[in-house]
Amino acid sequence: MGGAAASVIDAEGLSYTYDDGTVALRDITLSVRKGERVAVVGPNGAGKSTLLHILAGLRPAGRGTLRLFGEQLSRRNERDLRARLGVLFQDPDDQVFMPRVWDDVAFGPVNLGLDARTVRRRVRRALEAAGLAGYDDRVPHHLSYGERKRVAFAGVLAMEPEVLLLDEPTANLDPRNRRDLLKMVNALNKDGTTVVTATHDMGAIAELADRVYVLDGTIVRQGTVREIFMDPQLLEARNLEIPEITKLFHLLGAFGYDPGELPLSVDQAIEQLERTMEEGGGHVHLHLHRHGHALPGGPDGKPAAGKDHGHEHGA
Amino acid sequence: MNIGQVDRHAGRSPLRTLDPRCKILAIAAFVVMVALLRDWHVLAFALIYVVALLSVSGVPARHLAGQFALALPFALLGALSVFLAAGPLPAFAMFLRIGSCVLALLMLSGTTPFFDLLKGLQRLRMPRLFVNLLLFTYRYLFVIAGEMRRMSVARRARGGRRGRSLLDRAAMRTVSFSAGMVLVRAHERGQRMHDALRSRGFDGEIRTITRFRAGAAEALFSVAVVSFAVLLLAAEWGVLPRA
Repeated sequence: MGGAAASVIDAEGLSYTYDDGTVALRDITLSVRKGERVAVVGPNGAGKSTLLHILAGLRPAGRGTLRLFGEQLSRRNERDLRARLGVLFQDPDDQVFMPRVWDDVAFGPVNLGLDARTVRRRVRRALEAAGLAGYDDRVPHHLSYGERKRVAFAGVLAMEPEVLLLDEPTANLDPRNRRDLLKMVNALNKDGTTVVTATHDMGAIAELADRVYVLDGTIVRQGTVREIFMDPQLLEARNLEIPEITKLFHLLGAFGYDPGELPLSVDQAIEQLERTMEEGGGHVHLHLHRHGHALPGGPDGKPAAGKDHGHEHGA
Repeated sequence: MNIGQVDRHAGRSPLRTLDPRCKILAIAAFVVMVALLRDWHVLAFALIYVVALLSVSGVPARHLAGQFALALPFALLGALSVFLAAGPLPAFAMFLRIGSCVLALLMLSGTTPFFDLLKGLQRLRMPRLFVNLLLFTYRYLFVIAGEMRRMSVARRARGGRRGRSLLDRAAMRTVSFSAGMVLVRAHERGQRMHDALRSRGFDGEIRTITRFRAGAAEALFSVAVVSFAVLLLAAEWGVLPRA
């Protein structure tokens, strides 16, 4: 263990070939430490889901070694190790299979062999945490997609896993469900849960990860979220995009606003605007140069002179 | 689709809280004994009794009628074959026999949440393969039906048309491709589900922590259902003259 936090996932030289001979993953080496938030990003078909399933111990890799919690995965310990990892699958219909919400959430804890009282407590807590209080008797196939996703998430929560593996967690969710999900995951992370997310939703990455692996068959790059976002060539080459808010602040540079460190999420953007306003006496100064960048027309419709100011007043 | 709604009204039924094991056993016994009856007079009593029980079960008549209509072709077919072999009265008896058995089973499925029924069967030692199969079929029927519906809409959105007859080769071709796709998708979903199950500690058995308890109410129900059937059997075998 040493000084750094204990390693929870250690993959070395993992490869995976589909039944039809297509090579899905080549020589994957990555590691995740306890309490970290790590994302695996990549375009469609990059092998993100496959990698996630291998890391979850659900599918043996063709080659390479995988250590979970410092132990080599084997037939003898796979059930125990898997129980410490919670996987949220992309399609909640793959995961939510019991005909009643309460029983579905209880499925994992019952399999862990917990006593009835503990099971009930865990299920109640998981349902509450997932915003599903009062859903006990509901039938999954009558629920909306967002609600089924919450049921799937509650089912994972009830196992109280040490590591969360999320496969495209934000896909197909409406804004509120998406926001809630990100909030729930980050709350768990604060309490020490390690989070590994596979996604191409770069907006979610900014809020769900500190460290990123860019996957495209193999790991083509790794770094902090900022390092990855600040590498337009890499993103372009892998069909990825930085969040709109980051683009906007990049653009503000053309208005004489020094964004310093570009914000990667709305929260960071607000923080930064507040800081700028504090320094600027309650104002954010924007202006257009005569030979300025793209946007035509000042506030009055004409190309603005260098000294004109557009003001944004702080609240 | 009506299938998903067999237990739609179970929540309101006074029989809902009864231990499903007792309900299953009592009604199974009733069905077996009614199947042994031959005299249509006696069978008419059986039918009246089931209808009377149903009327206090809290399941709306409309719902029952709809469910019964699904079984009607089978009852009629059974009656028809007896009619051809043995004449009108035995055919009528056959119809009454099937009718009262189906209604008795509808009372079971209509007043018991489907999942409780499965748990009951599991407790009664039905092989877990059957129970799991029923469970997954029930849950994924809707997923697959939804998939088929979306595929059909997508076909029509691109100019596909419904076949006018079984001889419409183009339409049949499309339908058979779609059926193939549904199979492939179901297979893939099955594999993903298996992964999901394993990641939550599944080892082949679906466990629950529900405990059933049979008490006075269950005893009363069982006696009410079973004793009447015994009475009918006794009536036919001993008291009434053969028809």
